[in-house]
Amino acid sequence: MYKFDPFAIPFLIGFAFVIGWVIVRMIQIFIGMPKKDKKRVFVNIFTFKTVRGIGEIISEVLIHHRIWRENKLLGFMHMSFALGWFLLIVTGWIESSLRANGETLPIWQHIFYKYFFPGEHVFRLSDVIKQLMDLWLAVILLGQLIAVLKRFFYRRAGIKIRTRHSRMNRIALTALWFIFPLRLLAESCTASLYGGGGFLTGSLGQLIAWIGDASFITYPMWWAYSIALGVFFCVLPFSRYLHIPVEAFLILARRWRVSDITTINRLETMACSACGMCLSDCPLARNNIAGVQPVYFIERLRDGKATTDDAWKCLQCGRCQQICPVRVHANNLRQELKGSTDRVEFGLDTHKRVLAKRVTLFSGCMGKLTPRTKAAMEKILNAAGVEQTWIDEERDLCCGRPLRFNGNQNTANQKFNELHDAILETRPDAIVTTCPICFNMMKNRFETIPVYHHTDYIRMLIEAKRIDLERSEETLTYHDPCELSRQAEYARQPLKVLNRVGTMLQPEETGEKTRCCGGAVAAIGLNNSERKTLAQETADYLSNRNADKIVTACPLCKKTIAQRSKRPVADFAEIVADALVERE
Amino acid sequence: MKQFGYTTLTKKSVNIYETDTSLWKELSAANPEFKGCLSCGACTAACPINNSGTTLNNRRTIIELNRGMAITSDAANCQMCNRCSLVCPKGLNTRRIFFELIRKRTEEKQ
Ligand code: SF4
Ligand code: SF4
Ligand code: SF4
Ligand code: SF4
Repeated sequence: MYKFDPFAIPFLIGFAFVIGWVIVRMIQIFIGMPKKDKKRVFVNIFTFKTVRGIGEIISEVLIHHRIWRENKLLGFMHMSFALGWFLLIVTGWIESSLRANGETLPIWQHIFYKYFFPGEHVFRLSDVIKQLMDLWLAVILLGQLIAVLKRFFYRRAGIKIRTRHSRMNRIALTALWFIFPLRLLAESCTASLYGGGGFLTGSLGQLIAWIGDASFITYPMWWAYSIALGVFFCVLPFSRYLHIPVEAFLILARRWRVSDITTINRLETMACSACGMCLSDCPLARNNIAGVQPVYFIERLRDGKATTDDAWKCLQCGRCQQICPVRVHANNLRQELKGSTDRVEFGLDTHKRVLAKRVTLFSGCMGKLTPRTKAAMEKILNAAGVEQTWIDEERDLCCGRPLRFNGNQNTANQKFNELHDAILETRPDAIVTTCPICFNMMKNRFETIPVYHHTDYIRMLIEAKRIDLERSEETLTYHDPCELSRQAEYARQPLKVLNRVGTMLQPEETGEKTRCCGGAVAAIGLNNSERKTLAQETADYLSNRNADKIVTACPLCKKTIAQRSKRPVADFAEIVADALVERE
Repeated sequence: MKQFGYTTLTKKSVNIYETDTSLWKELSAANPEFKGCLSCGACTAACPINNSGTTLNNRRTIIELNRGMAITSDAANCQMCNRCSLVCPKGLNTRRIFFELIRKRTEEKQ
């Protein structure tokens, strides 16, 4: 039953092109990987990790679970396209294979099954499959309807700021939007001539047959459908739809523990779907300061046209990467642009947690500007009977992170080594810093010694009952520092401690969704008034809840907010120190 | 009391016909905020690098740029910690002066 028709050519060209392109690119990336990571791929490929990876591919590439979590409507829209199309292909393949009854069919006879096998066919499950095919098509068309309406009523869809797409993306989008209505028409016209089809194409076919003779447009419809597919596939590698194949590879690479930052960066650059989720909550977008959000920045990066603003205006607050459904680490991409090739890990220090006897404390550059935090820490540690050494009391040391943010990794490393050696000289059992920026730089970098942020350490002291706290009547608003809540993924716990000493009045965007205070050590390219706007916005936002005090856990946040807010700002340690109960 | 690590400028005369203020014009055109500097010195007083005995000096650099004098600070010493901006009464992005100087130098090298 081998048949061919020239209308399938555009589809075949596009399909071959896209498959070839993706394979070549992925092989290139694989070759470019360092030996260590290649080995990891081979070691991990036949393990459970791959199975888990496939599970994640299903939940992210097809179901779009992370988008669902943020926005149900958008989640459904993305899922209807991805999962709907996938099921359409799979079910269609089953349908044509069953019909072929053991014969192997060439790919175009699977894809354009209804053209090559028009009319009613009866085989096992044919009735169910027929209806299923139409159901999937209906789901996709519904998703598409939402997509079209979303263009006009984007605010209703929960999108605060709309993405402006590049020309390539618009071409691809247009082609994509043509594919399914054309398929519907082509199949319905065929059904109007030969019968067959399910509840959608079949009924529409009957309607067309009732209106008139569709024989003259049926064949052109199939051509149009094939051309739409071909165009879509041909522009796919140069548009945002590249994320469809690449995201799957990215998920697998992560599961296989590929650690080379350049490899992951390349994959992430291609895996961004330009969905625009990162746009809505970026302070720079909200205040119309700069269009450097990942959705635009990555697009420029792909074309090799990243601007100086992309590098120097972003606060690197990480709000965008926290919300990103693909988990694109835009901060790493930006750091690469600035010439820094190592990354800062997420999470806390992974060493065994100990309530040390001797701790070395580090205020950091910013911490030197907030002496009250230091005094409060001294009070708390004295009460708990911990022996303390403040490493930068007499001299200034720097963790090097600010330099890294500003493009000088070598000097940054020197600075860090200086700090590292100075701390080791004091022979501590644990290291505590009151600055989350320093904390992220220091964690896991002191061979066997655990590093804590002071919020974490204080919490441990409280849990071990080394200090007692007393509740007061104060109302508090806690501001999560970006570096602590997002980079160190330490968001809920400080709130629990504060809940014991006062009444918390939290704003809506809190925890890992916190707003940047505007002080960020990156973003050297922002000028005076832009910084002011950002800091003012956040200060007002935090003051809105009318709490007696704003509490934060970062010296930079504290200084920045205090300069703009009418309410007093205190560090976490100050609040705890005030609530301390003396023991006899 | 901490020694601020700088002394007031020794008496110097500047011949305005011989100085070259093109760099200042360029930098202040791109960052007009620098024109608002009060020369108060808070930034320098807070700067850890200045305090550790180097010549890095924001206030002085702005003055030198403005007058077209030779720059005595080594911009590469700045650790970009942002302390200077936080203490600046005008909230100026003071470290950017050094950032721009570094950038200019790397551009010239290329
Ligand atoms: S970076 Fe993430 S959130 Fe932003 S457009 Fe790309 S995929 Fe979407
Ligand atoms: S890191 Fe922050 S400032 Fe930069 S693009 Fe993301 S949300 Fe915007
Ligand atoms: S950013 Fe540079 S100039 Fe400013 S205080 Fe820090 S080291 Fe000094
Ligand atoms: S603190 Fe600000 S105003 Fe004062 S000298 Fe420095 S930059 Fe100028």
